[in-house]
Amino acid sequence: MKFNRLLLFVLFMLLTLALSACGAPPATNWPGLSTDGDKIYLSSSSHVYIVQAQTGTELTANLSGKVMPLRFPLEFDGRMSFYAPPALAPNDLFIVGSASSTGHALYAVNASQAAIVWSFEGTKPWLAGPLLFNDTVFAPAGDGYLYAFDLTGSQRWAKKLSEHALWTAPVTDGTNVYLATLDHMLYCLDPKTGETLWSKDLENGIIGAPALVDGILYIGTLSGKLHAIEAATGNLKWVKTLEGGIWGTPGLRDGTLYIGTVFGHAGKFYALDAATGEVQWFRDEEGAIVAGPLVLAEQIVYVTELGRVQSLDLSGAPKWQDNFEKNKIYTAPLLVNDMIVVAPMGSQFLMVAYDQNGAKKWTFTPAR
Amino acid sequence: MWDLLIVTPFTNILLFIYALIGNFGISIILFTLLIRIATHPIMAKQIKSGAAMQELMASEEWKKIQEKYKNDKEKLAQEQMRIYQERGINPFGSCLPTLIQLPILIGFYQGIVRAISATPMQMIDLVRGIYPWLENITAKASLSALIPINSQFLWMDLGQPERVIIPGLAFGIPVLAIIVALTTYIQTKLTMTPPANPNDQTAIMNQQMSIMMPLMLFYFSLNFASGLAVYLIASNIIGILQYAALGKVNWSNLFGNPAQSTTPAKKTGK
Repeated sequence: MKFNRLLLFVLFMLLTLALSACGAPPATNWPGLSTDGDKIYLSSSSHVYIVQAQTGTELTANLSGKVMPLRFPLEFDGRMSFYAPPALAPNDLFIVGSASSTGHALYAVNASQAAIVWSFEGTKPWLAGPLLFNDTVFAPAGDGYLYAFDLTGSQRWAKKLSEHALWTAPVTDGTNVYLATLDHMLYCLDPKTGETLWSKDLENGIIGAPALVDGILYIGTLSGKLHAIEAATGNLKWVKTLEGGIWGTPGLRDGTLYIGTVFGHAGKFYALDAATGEVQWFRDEEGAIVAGPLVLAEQIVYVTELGRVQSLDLSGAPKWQDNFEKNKIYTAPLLVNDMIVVAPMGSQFLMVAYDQNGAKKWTFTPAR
Repeated sequence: MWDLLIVTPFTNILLFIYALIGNFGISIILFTLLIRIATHPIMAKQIKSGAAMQELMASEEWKKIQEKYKNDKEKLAQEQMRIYQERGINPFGSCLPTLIQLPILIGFYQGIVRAISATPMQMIDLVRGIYPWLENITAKASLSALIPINSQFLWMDLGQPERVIIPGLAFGIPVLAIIVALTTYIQTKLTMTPPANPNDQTAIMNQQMSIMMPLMLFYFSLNFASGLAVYLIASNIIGILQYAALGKVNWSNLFGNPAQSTTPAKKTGK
């Protein structure tokens, strides 16, 4: 009898473990990074960590006489998990949505106290970072709607853009808002009303947000087609097919466009003429390149799925690299003052900061 | 290896059915039917082994050796083995097929989760795993046509645990999980062979299973993607129909206490 019960219990536990092993809830994604120059906000699973940019130390708050790490939420809450880069608003506010399978709220949080100022209850997980523009928060949601809120949390409008969850962040040129969807569409919207000014079918899934420079949207699809589209009209300027799928946002500097691809388990990193789409040079990588690159004045930095942080000069020659063996990096590197910050997954460090020569400045591990 | 041999092929079959049908919920049901058809010979063998074991345990010869060697476990085991060999019965014949179906359940669930891809990170594995030659069979199975997969089916998102929200109620009702528990209970009861001796270990085990299994699957359906619950419900219903087609369904079990029955299972089939 006891043996039978034990057998059933063991079977139950094994099945639970096996079913949970491959992508069962809670669904996970790569971390999100944003900065205001003084602080870095890291959305990584159960918390949004708030870290001092210069030192990499987690800020603390004295709440009711108790000093605790400044993170949101202050205490673990099973209904919250965060992966989208928070949008930073005036008055020390940041806005971020929960991607938990049990809690689907968008939160506006006071960064100095990690206290909720307002929240909006959604119906699906929030995986894309919101955009703040003209005192309006544009938040792409898991229910396929793009929501617009003012800074007090009042909803201005909501527009259904997809039957699927919205996974890409909106961008703006200071006039309109642009948003891409997984069901192949690129939209130009009036920020005041949400009205569609133009839309374009790019014929494949889009996950990386567009880069918007000098009135041109540069955007890639999972089929590896990189498009240059006029922001004002939606007219296609050029399209170039690269090897592998494009998952990140391209980087642009001095007329050259940089983007990596996912080519099976490997990757390719391309430099293209932004005016014509002609490939100037490319470089093979052992690991897939999911995130967009960070393009600086004298170097380009990108990360690979095999945990490599790779710096190249503008001609494509390697400058420096670092490797997080057995770890993966999917989050785009972030420039914070003069430092390059990366967020590896599965590492003991949630963030690592480098100077521009590749020397480590600090690492960040959350306090227990 | 598990991924290569089980999860990726399952995902591709599911995606191929989805490409043809255009509804992910129906695709799960059709794939369940395919799996049930493919594993039907194993199941028929399981039923046969179960029935043979049941007959053996009810036989005088079996009862005699139980009594005769009740104080000599080693000798009892030897005698039991001899009878198994004489009658051509594999004592594990009825539980081995269940163990074979377990990896299918796990692989199928992982295939559902991968196909639905609730996050961009999960989608990386999906995009990598789609067989490129699928689109040679039909353009509807190309990457661009397949992604994104519409995971809505009836009132539910197949990638999320299911709840029906009723206005005024502070919590959602897990309708699908309840149906899973009910159909599992019904299937277990209908397909259970009444034991010759209601107090023997097998009868007690069967009784426990008829309660534990629905509870276990209720728990899974409550917490995991509702695509799994759709699979379990379809699998239970098809399972009952399979048993019925083989004439092995004990309808009286649903309305009486099988442990108290001493009559053998009604056999209407071969």
